Amino acid sequence: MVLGKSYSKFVKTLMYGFLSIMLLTLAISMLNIGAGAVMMKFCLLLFILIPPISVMYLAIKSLIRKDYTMLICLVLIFVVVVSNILTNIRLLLQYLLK
Amino acid sequence: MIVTTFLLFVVAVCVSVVAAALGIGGGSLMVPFLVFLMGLDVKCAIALSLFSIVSTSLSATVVYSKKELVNFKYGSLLEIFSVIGAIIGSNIAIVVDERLLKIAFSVVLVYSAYRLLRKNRNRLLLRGDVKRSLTVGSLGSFAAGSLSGMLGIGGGVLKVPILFLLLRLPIKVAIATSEFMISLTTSTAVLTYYIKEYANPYFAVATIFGSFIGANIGSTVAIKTKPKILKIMLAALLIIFSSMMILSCLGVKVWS
Repeated sequence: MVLGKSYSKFVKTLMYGFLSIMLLTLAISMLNIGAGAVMMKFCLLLFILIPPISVMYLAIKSLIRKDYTMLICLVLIFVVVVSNILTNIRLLLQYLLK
Repeated sequence: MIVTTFLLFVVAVCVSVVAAALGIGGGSLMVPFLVFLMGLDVKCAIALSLFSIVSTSLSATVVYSKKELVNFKYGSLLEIFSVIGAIIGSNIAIVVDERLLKIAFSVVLVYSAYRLLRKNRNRLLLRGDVKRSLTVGSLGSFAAGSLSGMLGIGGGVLKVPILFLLLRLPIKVAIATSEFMISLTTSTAVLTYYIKEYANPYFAVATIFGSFIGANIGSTVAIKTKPKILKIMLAALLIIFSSMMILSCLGVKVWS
């Protein structure tokens, strides 16, 4: 399968998955506001993490295709994104566990 | 609360249709809408607009990449320079005169609009030109990243002209690749706003869903639209942006 189509399929699956979890969480929050709010925080975090996950997917694909230029670029982007998450990890945990 | 959530959903749908069709994030359209029309706090508006951009760019990338319109190689290569530029730009923003920057930015946008509308017969890159164009494109991408870091704007308005004019990609491929690049850039910015709790989670969900629907409509429309019309629309958008920048330099309070 060509890269674009498989990437599209992968991101589409992730997006639809997270969006359906969000809808489920909205339904839960109508029954229990406290539990719904906590679940919503996690859902949003998972949604934010889709782009880094998709970069990792592309990196693996480019490794399989032996496209090393693209691989290096994607790994560098991934490092920047992950380092941003890691520098904020303390605040992130504080917010999630609050 | 319910009315605001519904309004956010509607605004997100409308902005995302335009953003996904033209390869921009849509933040510069969304934030003024939320602040001036809905009376939301600026930080909350920025946070919601970032959530919207992530959703818009991801949904648009899904549609465009299905049609094999995204150039992942150029996108990932240029994105590194954009990210580095954004980090440096946000750090040197304090020492550089903002008015000068805005004027320079406006000039670049007007020139890009002119080049977009001009008839270009020889659009194919020769083999020897690829290296040179990539070097210039990387520098342009670095400048785009720096400007977004310094001025707090999305990169789409600059990325599409770079991909189309410097790397000579077809307009639809340039738009699609720009959306792919935006999805990567915004994911780093949105995290900060998420942690600081600037956005109400329910409002964020409404914006995400609205943008998801809007971006699917926008990107499907863009695929079916003639390249000439897309170029005219993009040129008009660039001129509007540059006029806004120049007016704000002159002290006139406009839209943003």
